[in-house]
Amino acid sequence: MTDTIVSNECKKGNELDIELESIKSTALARIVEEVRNECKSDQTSPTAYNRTHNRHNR
Amino acid sequence: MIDTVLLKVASRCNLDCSYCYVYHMGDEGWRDQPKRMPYAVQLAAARQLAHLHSRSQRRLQVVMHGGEPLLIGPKRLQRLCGLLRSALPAPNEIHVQTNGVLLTDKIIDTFVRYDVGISVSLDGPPNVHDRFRIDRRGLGSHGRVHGAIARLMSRDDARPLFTGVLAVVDPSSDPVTVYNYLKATGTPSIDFLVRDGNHVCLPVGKASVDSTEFGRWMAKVLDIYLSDPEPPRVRVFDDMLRLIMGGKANKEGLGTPDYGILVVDTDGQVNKNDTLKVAHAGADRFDDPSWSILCDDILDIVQSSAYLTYYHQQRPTANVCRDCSELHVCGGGMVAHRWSDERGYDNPTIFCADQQLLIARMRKWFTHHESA
Repeated sequence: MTDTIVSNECKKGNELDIELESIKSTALARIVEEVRNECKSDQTSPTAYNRTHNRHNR
Repeated sequence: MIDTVLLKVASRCNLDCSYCYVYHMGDEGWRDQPKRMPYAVQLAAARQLAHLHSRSQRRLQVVMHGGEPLLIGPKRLQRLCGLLRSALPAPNEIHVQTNGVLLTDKIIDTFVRYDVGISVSLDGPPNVHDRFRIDRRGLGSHGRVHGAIARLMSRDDARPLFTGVLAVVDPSSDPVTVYNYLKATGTPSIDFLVRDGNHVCLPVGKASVDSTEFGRWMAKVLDIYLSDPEPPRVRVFDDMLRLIMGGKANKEGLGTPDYGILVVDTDGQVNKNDTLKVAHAGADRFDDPSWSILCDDILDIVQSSAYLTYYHQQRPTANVCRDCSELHVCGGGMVAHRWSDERGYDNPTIFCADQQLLIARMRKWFTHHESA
């Protein structure tokens, strides 16, 4: 089964249909999944508490 | 209107990196600052942050920054972390950005106790890192930084606090070697930064605003990253790819969301994002009025017209940016990178051509993601 994301359902941006099964890149597949979850959860803050980099780490 | 506060815990650094925006971009403000943040300033900052959080009900992110924040010393650091964590319980985030040279087990114990995220600056293997990241004796710092990361990775209690490494790009280095080296440290995340500069003074390694040395270097790393079956996270790429897909970015300098960043200097003065020092000396100051965390209410500051002007400054004004189809990804770049003496910030970033090249490469991965 093919899982498809239409990213501009949740936010502005250009239309981009991505079939997850066809993505061979591990990183890209993860990011697609994250954006899809972001859309589903309808987050209003710019980031989740995910222990990735702080917002000003220069 | 505000989500991130930087505490300039120490105004000096034990390294002398030649590309540093704090000490080598013409701003001399650090000379007038106390070397370490006094206790009175720490206490006032913690109280005001608690006050801000209770009123805004927004999750705050506090970053202990410098100079080199660990120069404050282990005892003072422990006290400061205690103050901050009492003021801002989880899920508020407390982080430290360190060069790693002084990251001992004792200091790691403090970060574990108070749940402090640790980001370490590491540019790559010794020949890349030590070219610019030298100490006051001119000696490379790589060995000590690498040791600190190994220390973090060896501790089960500290490893989850290690947020990642921050690497400044040297476009003359080999991107494959740098990526593979950083990945091999075990870091969960890498963030690549371009060197700072503006239209008056381009960074070393960038020949002109139309040249793409940084963009080509980043595009090569992008291809390695997206081909890697077991990649760490690469923050800058993840943010840009998310924005291309219509998602949200996490960090300033990309996309069009507004970030609210304030700096509390070592003496308590409240300033704008300190990266503005890259534009010109004093560009990070609220000149009229100037505020101090010791005597001004931070809520009054973030509701002032001066703060609003600064806050809106991150939105690009140049026509070429406003008309650009990639604005929602690039966001006009870092504000300081837009500066020219003639037009102020009313320019595209000096990295516009680099960004265009990199975004185009990303779009190719979407078009031909099986064999970009």
